[in-house]
Amino acid sequence: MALFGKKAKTQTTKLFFVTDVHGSETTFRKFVNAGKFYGVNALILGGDIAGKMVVPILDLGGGHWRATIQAITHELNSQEEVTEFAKRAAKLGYYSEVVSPEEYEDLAHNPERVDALYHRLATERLATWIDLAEERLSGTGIRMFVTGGNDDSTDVLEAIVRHARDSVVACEDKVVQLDDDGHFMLSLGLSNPTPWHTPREVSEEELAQHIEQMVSGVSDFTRAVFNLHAPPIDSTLDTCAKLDWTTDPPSVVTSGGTPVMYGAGSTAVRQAIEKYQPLLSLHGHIHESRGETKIGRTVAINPGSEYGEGVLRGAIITLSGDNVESVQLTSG
Amino acid sequence: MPESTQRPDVFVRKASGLIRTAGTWDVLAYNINFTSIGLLLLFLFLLGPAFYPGASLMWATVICVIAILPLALVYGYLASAMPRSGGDYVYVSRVLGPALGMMSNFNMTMWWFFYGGVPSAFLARYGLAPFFRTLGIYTGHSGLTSVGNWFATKNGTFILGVVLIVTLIVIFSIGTKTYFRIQNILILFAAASTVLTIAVFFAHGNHADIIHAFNSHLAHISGKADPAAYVAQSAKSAGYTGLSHFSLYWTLLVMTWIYLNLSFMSSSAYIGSEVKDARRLQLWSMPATLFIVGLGVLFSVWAVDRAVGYNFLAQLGWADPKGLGLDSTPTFTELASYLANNIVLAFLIGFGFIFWSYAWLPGQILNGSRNILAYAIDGLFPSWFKQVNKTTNMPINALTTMGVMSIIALGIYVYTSLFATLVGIFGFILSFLLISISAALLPYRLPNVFETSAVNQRIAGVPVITIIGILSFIAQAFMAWVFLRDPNAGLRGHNGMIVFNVVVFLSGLVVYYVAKWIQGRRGIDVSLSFKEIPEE
Repeated sequence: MALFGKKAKTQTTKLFFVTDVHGSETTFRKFVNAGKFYGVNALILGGDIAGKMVVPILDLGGGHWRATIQAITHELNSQEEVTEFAKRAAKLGYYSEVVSPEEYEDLAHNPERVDALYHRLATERLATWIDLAEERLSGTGIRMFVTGGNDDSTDVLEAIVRHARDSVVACEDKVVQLDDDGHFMLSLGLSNPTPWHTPREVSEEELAQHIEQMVSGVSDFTRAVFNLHAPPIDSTLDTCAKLDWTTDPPSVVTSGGTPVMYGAGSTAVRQAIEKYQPLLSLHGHIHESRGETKIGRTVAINPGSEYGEGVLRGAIITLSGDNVESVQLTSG
Repeated sequence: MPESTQRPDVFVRKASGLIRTAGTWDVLAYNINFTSIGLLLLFLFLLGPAFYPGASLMWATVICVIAILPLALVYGYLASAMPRSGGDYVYVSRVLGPALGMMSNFNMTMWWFFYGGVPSAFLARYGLAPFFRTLGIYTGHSGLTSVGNWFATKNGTFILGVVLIVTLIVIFSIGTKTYFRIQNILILFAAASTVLTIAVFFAHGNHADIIHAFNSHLAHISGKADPAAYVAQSAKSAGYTGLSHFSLYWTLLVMTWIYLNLSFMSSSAYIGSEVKDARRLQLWSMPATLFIVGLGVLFSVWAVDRAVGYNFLAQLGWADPKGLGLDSTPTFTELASYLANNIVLAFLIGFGFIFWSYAWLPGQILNGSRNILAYAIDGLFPSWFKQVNKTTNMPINALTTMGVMSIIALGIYVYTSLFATLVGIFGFILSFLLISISAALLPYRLPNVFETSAVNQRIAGVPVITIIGILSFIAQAFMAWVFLRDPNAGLRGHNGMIVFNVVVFLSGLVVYYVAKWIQGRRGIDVSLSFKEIPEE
């Protein structure tokens, strides 16, 4: 073992893994360009692609608009300012929509209409993203693997399947080949239960069943990559503040005036890694728990997420046969 | 038009995500704790009147707050624009590049190594020694006074310092929860001590009171009928010639002791990812810390001058404490204890101050170990340093390294004269200069970050952050001059120490390029870890 890690042998496959971009236009555009930038063979987007917030831009009439972002209310006085505002919102991961005061009131009192609006905007953005990726990656030989997370509803994810053509691979709930060196990846965006009751969370038992179904056709895991959105429990990739599930929104549990930190990962994911010992295991979900660890022979990674600041957190991973030659965590 | 449209709200869906835990009071307490007002006052009264002839402590405080304000704004603006943990490592790396980011941050980590020895020595010297001496004097128990005096000896200081460092490393290795739970209580004792001290001084506006209290409490232990007269005579014999007229020059130089503490009002920048509504809270919390602590210092200086007077403080500084039966000069808390003439108050003042005495150390160890972990994760330090305990999630190897380095620094600080208390602040200023440049250039080097931030303000077309960055650079360059001029800062006339500061500052650059070379041989380009990917 060399001082800074294992010495490199022949490089075969270089991956770039990111996760939890949450609608951020800036981070997705960076991700598309990351292939050439880092000189990798494949890009992997590990889930929680959709944003969390819709910013209504009130059309007040007479060429005036009003909207709130980051707790500051902005008065917009031209169509150009509205366009710039919408771009700024997109960079932060928010969706925006111009609405009349009456429409705003209607939305404010009808959560189901907000939900429908959100789904439309999320689907539109995702479709635009996939088109952009296809266009930019075309002819580069770089493939982009995209899966969902617990925050991504099924109908939003269908946009990936509909728009993916040559370079983009919708890999949710599939086993896909990563390279010509026998590396393959199985992807699952479901998570164990969270205090937010997000669209795609299931019990640990169901999660275990899903994983078992996916691995059922696999006999050799020495070149397998598990792309499971939820991190393994108590792995240092899942450390976050403990939350009180009974409040809305969930509140931080404190003890002695300090937040109680704990492992919020999945027992099913951990058991699967321990049982099958894949070569590599990729995770997200807990943004603040960036790191790399080993579970048996498996190298497990959570690159973390800082999408709100437009920072693309990621991991460049070099695979060589049944070895993980190197892992480099990045902030791009 | 409905009222709700005056401030249209956003629609948030249920989604998982990062919960930021540190609120307004947490952030203020974190920053105020790190400035440690108790220690600031201790040095100011112990050294200011005696060794800075003609210095006005009031004006020094005001000017120092003005000099640090642009730096507080620089940190606040940067922490708002880039609300991530890591402080200058993040800011400088992103704006000026990873090599300079490493240089700036490694410089701080190195000084946290060296400064590990300073507050750990203060525990015995300024915490336990005065406490036991005061108890001894009040109870007439000479054994307690002897214990206090032993703590002030080199061996006593070193042994207690080692015990403190080892204890903290063990506690941190278990997890920070236990530490913060205890510290949240201890800091209340510390704050109560300062409040009581100032209240005691405030209640006594006559210089005759302190002379009477001083004599009545120290007569027995010193074996002298008039210890205050001894102090005056001893100071005169040592060369003290009385108070000088106001001197702007010495007023500027005494700022070094205020800057020593106040310049660290930005600690919450290093826990940016944990701060709620960081874009707004970070922006005002650092200047607010500066003003709160600055006002506290101003009031204390006024109250102590009124009750004790600069002249007596100066005489104490010059006099040989051994003639009083003490191994070191009585601190301002000891004077307050005598003046209180009440054993309960004296106990509370002395006991509470113990927790100010080492207040820097836990933060230094935690921040230093977090930095080391970050270097290892980024491939700049050997992977051994990134090992994290899976139960406690603490970077054990990085913590142990901080502990060992702190004990070595403690030995150097206690047993040699190589390292003066202020000597490394000049080194910190070099990093502050680089951080100021980063702030000034942020809108031009990272326009995307600037434009989407909550601090994208302009005055006459010039970004405000650029203006405050330039002002901060000028103010910190001025403070660097002050440290170079101050004869008590350990730099004037010690060219070797100035060179040492510069070498430490540049050492991060060497570490970066050596790591880059080693990683490059493995096919890893370290510079990619920090480089921003173009969007288009």
